[in-house]
Amino acid sequence: MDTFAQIMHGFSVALTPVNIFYLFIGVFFGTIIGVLPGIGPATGVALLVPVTYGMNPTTALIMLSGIYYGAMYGGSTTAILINTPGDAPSVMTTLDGYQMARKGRAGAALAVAAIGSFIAGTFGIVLLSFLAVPLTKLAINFGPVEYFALMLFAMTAVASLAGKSLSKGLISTIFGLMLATVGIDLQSGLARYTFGINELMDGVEFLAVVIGLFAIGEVFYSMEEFYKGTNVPIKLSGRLWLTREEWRRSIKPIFRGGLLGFLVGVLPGAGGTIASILSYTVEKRSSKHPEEFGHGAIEGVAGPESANNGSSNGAMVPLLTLGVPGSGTTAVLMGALMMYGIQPGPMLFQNNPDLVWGLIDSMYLGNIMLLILNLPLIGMFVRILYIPTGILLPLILGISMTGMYALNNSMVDVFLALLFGVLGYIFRKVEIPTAPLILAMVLGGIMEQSFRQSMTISEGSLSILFSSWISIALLALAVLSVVLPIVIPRFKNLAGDGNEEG
Amino acid sequence: MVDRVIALIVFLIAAGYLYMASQFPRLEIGDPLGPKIFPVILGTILIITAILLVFESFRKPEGDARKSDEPEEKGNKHLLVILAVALVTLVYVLVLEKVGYILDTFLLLMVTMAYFNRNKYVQNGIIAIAFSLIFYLMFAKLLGVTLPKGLFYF
Repeated sequence: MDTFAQIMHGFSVALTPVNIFYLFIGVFFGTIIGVLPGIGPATGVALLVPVTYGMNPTTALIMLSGIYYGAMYGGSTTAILINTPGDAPSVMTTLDGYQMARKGRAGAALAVAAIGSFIAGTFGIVLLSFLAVPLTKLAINFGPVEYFALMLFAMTAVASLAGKSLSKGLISTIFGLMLATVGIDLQSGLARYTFGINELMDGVEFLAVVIGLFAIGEVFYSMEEFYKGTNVPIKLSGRLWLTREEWRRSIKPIFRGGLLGFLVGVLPGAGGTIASILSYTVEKRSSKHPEEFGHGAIEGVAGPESANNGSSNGAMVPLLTLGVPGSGTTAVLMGALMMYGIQPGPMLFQNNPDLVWGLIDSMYLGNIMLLILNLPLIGMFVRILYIPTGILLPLILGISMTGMYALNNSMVDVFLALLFGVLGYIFRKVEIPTAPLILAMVLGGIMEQSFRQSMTISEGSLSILFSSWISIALLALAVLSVVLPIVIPRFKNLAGDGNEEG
Repeated sequence: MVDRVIALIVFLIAAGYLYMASQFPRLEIGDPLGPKIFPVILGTILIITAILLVFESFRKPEGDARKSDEPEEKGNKHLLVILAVALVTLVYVLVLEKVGYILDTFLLLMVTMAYFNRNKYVQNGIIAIAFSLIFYLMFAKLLGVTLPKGLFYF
């Protein structure tokens, strides 16, 4: 089948009633998670993985991806109405979105965020559909050497961009790789780092680490912030639509932001946060009235919001075609896929076209659902902002514990989640980013295997890593991503603290 | 200062990790480098990153100064609250299978909300009961996962 026929076939998978239902559940919870400050897309996906227990993998992935890009829509609501980003990528939206709300244009700000996200999202899926197959053709020739180099590049890029300090990003990465070495070594049968605990023979449960570091750690951190008090939401004002003038000013930033976001999303390390920061900078630079930025310029909402949605589609490209996620959230999606026994990567398009194209096509429908949820129905989600934090935090703690136990009925997993929750809180306090750890943990097992396969081929000589131009290029990129931030410190400031990168 | 303490802890973890790797038995069959080589590389790189962190902490001392200027007693009170919540959650986990999901989760929510959503016992009570019942039923009926029954029969 050619690509076009496969795309069409994907709709027959995406449009089954079961998949439509779970897609709706996914984007609905995605929007809620986006609206809630403190819970980002990675946490949301992790919290809902236990619910997909026993589901068909295609359906599960359609739902979980819906949470991911749905959260990108919801994040703007909080940014605009209470000046707090709902998740890290919507941080730029606070600058002009909140100012617009204060001037009584909250409706227009929310509308442009939803419309921009919709256009950029749909545009991004088209790009994803047509880029995917050529990329898998490139990746199909990858041997263990090239894969090792590619994973190394993904990890170094995330390590150097995720936090303020390069060494802390690297420490987080190595911790993740170390966690992946726990359990029985598949090649030799040797039990490593299990400390005699039987449940650790199969390795550390990935979701326990994710829910611990992201959800529980975040609850602890927010409980501390609790004393500072929260902002009261600005009342929704103005019609939920744009004036002709606002349309005219927004349309270019939406397309520019969407394309920029998609490209940034494809690259490992740089996710939604960097995409929206870049888009904001581009819009401000190219604007005829840059002085309006920061005082409620609609371009400052349209561009970044489109960019972070474009990036979430871009981030699906390396995950699906190469099997190497480039961010924390896509790493969680990959972990979920692996739980169902599915290995993402170029072979997935050959072996499981229903899953891949069903997922990609479901995203078109998901974006339409999100446009409806975020325009006419946004008032419903705004009410979530009135739930007191003092109730919300205990509930998230309860959901984390429940999901963790339900996953494997294992007390060890619940203990681990709590342990990693405390660790996540400490990481947050000492500014060690958590996304690199998650990515490294997901890729660790495959990375070690491809390294050892390479070494077996070369009989122990490291020179094999430089045996092909692709691996040399990837290794050079890996070195660059570590060295560049040291040479150009200004570049680091772009990243901010993208603790939970989209 | 904080960063140097982290570097020290990271160094100790790396040392422990490497020591355990050195205890792995040498295998006669299979690949030439075996299950040992990757952990040894990881431990070594971790030591290097710990040293890198020490260098970084020397390079920007102003960040450290800002950290230590934070009012101590305020930080300590927050830390106590977090510690208490972590301990309450630990107790929750420990007794979960004995007490049962519904009662245990109800108690966890009541205790934490009693602190964070003060003096609203009726509201908290309704939320806590609804939450534990809904989740228990959702997992049991819709997803076929039985959460611990404990003292009860349902």
